[in-house]
Amino acid sequence: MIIRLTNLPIFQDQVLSDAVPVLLFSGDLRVSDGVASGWIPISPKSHITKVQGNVVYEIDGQPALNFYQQYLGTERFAESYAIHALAVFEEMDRFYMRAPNRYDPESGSVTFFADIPEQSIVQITDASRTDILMASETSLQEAIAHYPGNEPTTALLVSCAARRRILGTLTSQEYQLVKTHLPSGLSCCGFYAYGEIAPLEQHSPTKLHNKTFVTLLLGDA
Amino acid sequence: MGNQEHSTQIQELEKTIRILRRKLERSEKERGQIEADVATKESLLKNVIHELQTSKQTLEAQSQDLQNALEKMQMMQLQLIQSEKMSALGQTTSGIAHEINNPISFIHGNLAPLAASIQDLFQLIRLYHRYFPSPPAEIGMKRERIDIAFLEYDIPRMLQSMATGTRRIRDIVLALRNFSRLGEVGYKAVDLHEGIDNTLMILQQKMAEIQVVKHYGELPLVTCVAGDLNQVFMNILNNAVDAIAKKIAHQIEPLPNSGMISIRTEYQPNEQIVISITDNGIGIPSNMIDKVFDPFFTTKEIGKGTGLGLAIARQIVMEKHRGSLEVYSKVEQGTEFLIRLPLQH
Repeated sequence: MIIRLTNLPIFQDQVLSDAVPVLLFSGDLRVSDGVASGWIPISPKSHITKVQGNVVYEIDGQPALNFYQQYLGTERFAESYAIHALAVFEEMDRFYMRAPNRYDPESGSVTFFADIPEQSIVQITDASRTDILMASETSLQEAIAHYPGNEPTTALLVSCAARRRILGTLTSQEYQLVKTHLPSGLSCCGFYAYGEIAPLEQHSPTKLHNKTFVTLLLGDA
Repeated sequence: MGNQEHSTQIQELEKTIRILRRKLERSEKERGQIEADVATKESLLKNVIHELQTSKQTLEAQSQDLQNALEKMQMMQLQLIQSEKMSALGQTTSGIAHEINNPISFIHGNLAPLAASIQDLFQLIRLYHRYFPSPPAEIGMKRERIDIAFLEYDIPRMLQSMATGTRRIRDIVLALRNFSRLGEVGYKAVDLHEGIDNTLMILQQKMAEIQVVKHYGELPLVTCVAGDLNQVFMNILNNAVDAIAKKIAHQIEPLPNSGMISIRTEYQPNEQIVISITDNGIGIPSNMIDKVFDPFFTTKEIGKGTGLGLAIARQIVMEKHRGSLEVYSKVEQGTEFLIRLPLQH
């Protein structure tokens, strides 16, 4: 039997299932973060016209599934649609990502990892391996640039599992690239995730992201 | 080699095969996934490119529409300027005509009776002289001083010249009124030569040093908006005068009276009127010749030209009269404007 560790959290010396490990920090801690995806919106802009929470029924008045299948084709749709997240625009050029994870041919709806507000402007996205690697670097540089202390001592890196899937044989480069920017002697750990939580911009509220590389730098005062 | 060893080896091989098979399975699964990803991506890119092409075409069509609307607007603006100008000119000329015509009529009307009366006076003086050939010294001296023989010769000529002058003034006023054709709206059958001559009359002062050569053919009356066509002649002739002035200004040793404008008219068997206006001025460089009819294109100094003259001319000829306006030019040699008008519109 093969145990897929990624799906099972480890707490102290135990492997658990259906559990959430929690790690708390306290004290005079310095933190900074960075988030970037490398996913690029490429379709014309559309509006979410009917949505209930995270279930999108209509985009531009058409069933959401039609919108997706019109772009991605029907042939291999089920295997790959999850990669092509929607870029949801907060302002003219600032967006966050919402990845689809289920669809219903009967209602024509597409379900996403998290809520999308009605009347949001969205665009379908695509990603290339170069863009993904560059975004990892951007995420890290952003965290370094905003670090409030002298030098961080620990870096926590969270990368979306979809990034690894697209990077394929280049996967190891993501970490190698990031390491070149980190001070030597800095402790570093991380994991692949199915949703990342971070502020989209500095000092804005945290929110859930898809397809991103999140850097958290920690250090003492 | 014992059986034990063999079975160990076989077990290891079987294990290796199992591992390799799993790797192969995983690899094939991944390959399948990559193929699906590529197929999906291909479809996405194709559709996005298609959408971009469509939106590009839409944009091009929109930009064409905008361009058309802009041109239409510019033309409407030209028409407005044109009619504004003509109406201003018309009002001015009708005012001038009214103010000048009356006093000039008194003068002109009195000239002939005045000449007759003066003749009578001279006859009377001659009679006196015949019957009293030896007048007192004072009269004799006065006769000497005023040179009575010269006055008798000169006064009729002075009156003649005054009559010519008043006639000229009347002609100019008439030309001005005819030129603007105030009160005349729409198409009428007119003599184009009259229009050209009226225009020349108005430009007379500007053209004082330019020789005008006319080769007028036999023309039927042409149905046209006469005031508008006069505007065309005016704009072309004005440019011709300027082109000649520019050429003379550029000459190291200016030749006075070397400027020439020749006007040729012809009625062609295909019921077309051809009017050619040629100057021997500075000419238009080939890189500008395509632009001369563009609205707001001008080579004149700021404030001197609006860049609308030829644009208006072309619009009047082409749109109002279904004719054509062509330009041919050689630098330093001159420019020809060729107007073709169909007899019927």
